[in-house]
Amino acid sequence: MAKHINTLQNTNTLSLSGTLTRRAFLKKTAAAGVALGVPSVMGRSLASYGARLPKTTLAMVTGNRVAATKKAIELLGGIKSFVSKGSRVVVKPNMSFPHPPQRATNTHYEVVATVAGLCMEAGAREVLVLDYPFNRPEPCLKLSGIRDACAKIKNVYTLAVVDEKFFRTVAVKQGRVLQQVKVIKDVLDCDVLINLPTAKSHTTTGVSLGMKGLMGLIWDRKYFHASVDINQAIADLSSAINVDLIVLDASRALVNGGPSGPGQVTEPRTIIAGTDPVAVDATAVTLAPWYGQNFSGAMVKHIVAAHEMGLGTLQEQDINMLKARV
Amino acid sequence: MRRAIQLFFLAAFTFLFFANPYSEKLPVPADLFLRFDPLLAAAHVLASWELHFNLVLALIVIISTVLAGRFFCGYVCPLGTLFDLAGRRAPTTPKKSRWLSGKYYILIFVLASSLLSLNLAYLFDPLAFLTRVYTFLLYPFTIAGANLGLDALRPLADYLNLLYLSHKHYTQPVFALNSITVLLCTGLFVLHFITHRFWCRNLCPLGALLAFFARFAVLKRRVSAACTTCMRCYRACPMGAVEQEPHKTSEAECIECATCSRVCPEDAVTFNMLPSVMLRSPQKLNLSKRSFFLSAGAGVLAVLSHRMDPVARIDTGRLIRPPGALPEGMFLDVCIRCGHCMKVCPTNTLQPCFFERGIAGIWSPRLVPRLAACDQTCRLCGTVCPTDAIRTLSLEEKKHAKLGTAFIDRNRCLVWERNQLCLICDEQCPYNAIVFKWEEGYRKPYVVSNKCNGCGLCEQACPLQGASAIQVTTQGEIRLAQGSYSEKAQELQLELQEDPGDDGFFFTDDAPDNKAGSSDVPAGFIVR
Repeated sequence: MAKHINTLQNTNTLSLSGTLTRRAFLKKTAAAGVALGVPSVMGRSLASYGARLPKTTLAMVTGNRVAATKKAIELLGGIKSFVSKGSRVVVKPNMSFPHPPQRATNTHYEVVATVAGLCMEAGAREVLVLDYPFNRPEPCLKLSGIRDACAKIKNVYTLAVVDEKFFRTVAVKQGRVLQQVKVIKDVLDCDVLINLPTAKSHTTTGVSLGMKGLMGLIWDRKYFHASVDINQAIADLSSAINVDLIVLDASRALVNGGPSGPGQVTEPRTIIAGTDPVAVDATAVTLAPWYGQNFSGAMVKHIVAAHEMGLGTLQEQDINMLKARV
Repeated sequence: MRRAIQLFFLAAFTFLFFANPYSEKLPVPADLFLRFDPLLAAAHVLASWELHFNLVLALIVIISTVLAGRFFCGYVCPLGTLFDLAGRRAPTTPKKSRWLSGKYYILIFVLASSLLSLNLAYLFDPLAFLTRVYTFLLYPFTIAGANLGLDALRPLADYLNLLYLSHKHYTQPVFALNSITVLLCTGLFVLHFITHRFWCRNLCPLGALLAFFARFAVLKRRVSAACTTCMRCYRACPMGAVEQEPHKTSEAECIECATCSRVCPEDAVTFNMLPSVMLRSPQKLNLSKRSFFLSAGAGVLAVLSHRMDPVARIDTGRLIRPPGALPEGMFLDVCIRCGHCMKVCPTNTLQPCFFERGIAGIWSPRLVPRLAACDQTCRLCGTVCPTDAIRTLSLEEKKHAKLGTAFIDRNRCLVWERNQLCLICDEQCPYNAIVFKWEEGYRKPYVVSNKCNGCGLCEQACPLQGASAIQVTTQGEIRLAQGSYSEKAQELQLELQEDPGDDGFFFTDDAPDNKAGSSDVPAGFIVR
């Protein structure tokens, strides 16, 4: 309980700074966090400063997925701590599969529409909901329900990016197996990037959560599978793409047969939000038994690889977990 | 007036072609023109010895021809319209063409070979030809042009923040045999510029078939006594149907375009219906008995030489037909190579054959899974096939129309050969047909053949450079002329349901002895 109050105070401090630009604000908060020794939501930024990792804050909310999504973001200080007025937001759900929501292969459209709506309410200029589906794009956008759900919100665009001309090569400075990678231009040029993964099993990487989901933003996925250690490549990719917020949809989890299914779908009814990609994924691993077994984040190769690169925290005691039920 | 009717049919033909990915919403079938084609219907019936509903539609065209002559060539045929639109570059040949009978030879050749069940009508039929030109040339070039336009517009769209426009891109369709279609198409138009409508006059077997019936037509060209023999009609006739004595008409050649009537300074030429002419015996075809038997014999020879082609005996297993395709022999008889199925295929996996099945197979559709897989949410190829060479199936039925079975090449597979962590084929498989067994401490993929319907998603996705390490072959394909695929699949104990249960991560009866403590840890997790 004390922990909870502590964080709420922290959250209040954060929301005072709404007039600053987001990035400047993040840096300042981070610096302040270090100076004051208070827990910060900015674990990711600090990691890149090379400071000792402080506690990272995650919100884990159980219940109705729309309410849980809203509550989780609210616990992190509200959408306005991430999205400032006039910004262009890219939201990256998983919409790679021409499957209806009950297959649990795509992020649930209600979660996508909720986050997109929050961004617009926060004054975003526009929200681009985009992915590079590896199936034919039209049925993916349609059957996932995401396009229809987002079409109801003004200035929210659901886009499938399917040609190399929409991608640009960026260097992976910290990369251990990747030197460069081709990423969707909109992702590189946007003001805010929100990752909206869904919780799935994966035949190659064990689980497919936030960091694995970023593979939907790159051009050459075959390279990851065939030419390098995919687990390390996922970690490398995470170091190159600056995600501002992760809202992980574990309202359902595809616990086997993933990523394309069909497989067994369980209902953790949970939304996890945070800014630390390692902590979010590591926490999500514990929400469901994968392939009938219980795992922790420390047992997933690509999550461990990302942790070892300093991209986030794995230890439970270093995570300031804000739990709620709606 | 005539030009307006021609343009209407050309526009309709073009519209139906481009609208056909959405043909399930169209009030008429996308292949409407082909369904009315008497040549295709005749060859189909002769080759397969089965009646088809299209025969009724074709009879409508034949009966109208008996009433109104070769109006089809002059008003309806979109290829003829394209020739007319291309204009007249050549001076009218006053000499009677020596090639006029060519079309009859081709017709007889086609019908004779069809009778021996080698359907070659598709090679020469103008509507099938034009549909192929549309599929293999017009369509891909239109998409390429649209993308160039979009690329040019993109800076402006970005500037105006028109996000849908700035992200718009059409996937470029690609087709094999493009160059052959270009050559044929160019050839026909070059001939057209040497002699106006060279194709229609001298080569078109559909024209020949209609010409045969046009001789009985009630609608006839008549020249009154006002004729001064100025020969303008003779020079203007696009078909060379006006005889050297200009009051006479070669009725098999006349396409009722009435050009002669328009150019006549004396208004001496009229077209009217006179039922009494039916009693008169029709004009003779410009055809000798000798050449009749020669061309029929050529048709027989074509059939025999085709039967001597070793392709009929070699089964490479890689000639994968579209889902719902009739058994191979029937399929080749019935498929008219119009290319509609290849046009609608949303993944572009359907490609024209070259000589993989000899002369009988050229331009017939096949799947190329390395290029793309068969979309499991699509059944369009069957819905647009004008002759039901690909049967129209429900999605559930189509799923059970097994195309073949995937096989893993262990010498090339990254997992089998290099113990690399790659399981993309399993990731892609919609039916959990790929499972794992433990082999010397590594989990290795296997195909469960009764769960595989040959969709090719695995072959397409295999990250290996060059040929895929998992390939679909026709082994176990299901080709039914009639009856239910689902029932057949059940009989063969196929399990193609997208079963939501555990995919049996390992063969349970093959579980390893677990001595390393690692055996049941899935890939991607760290062994403790």
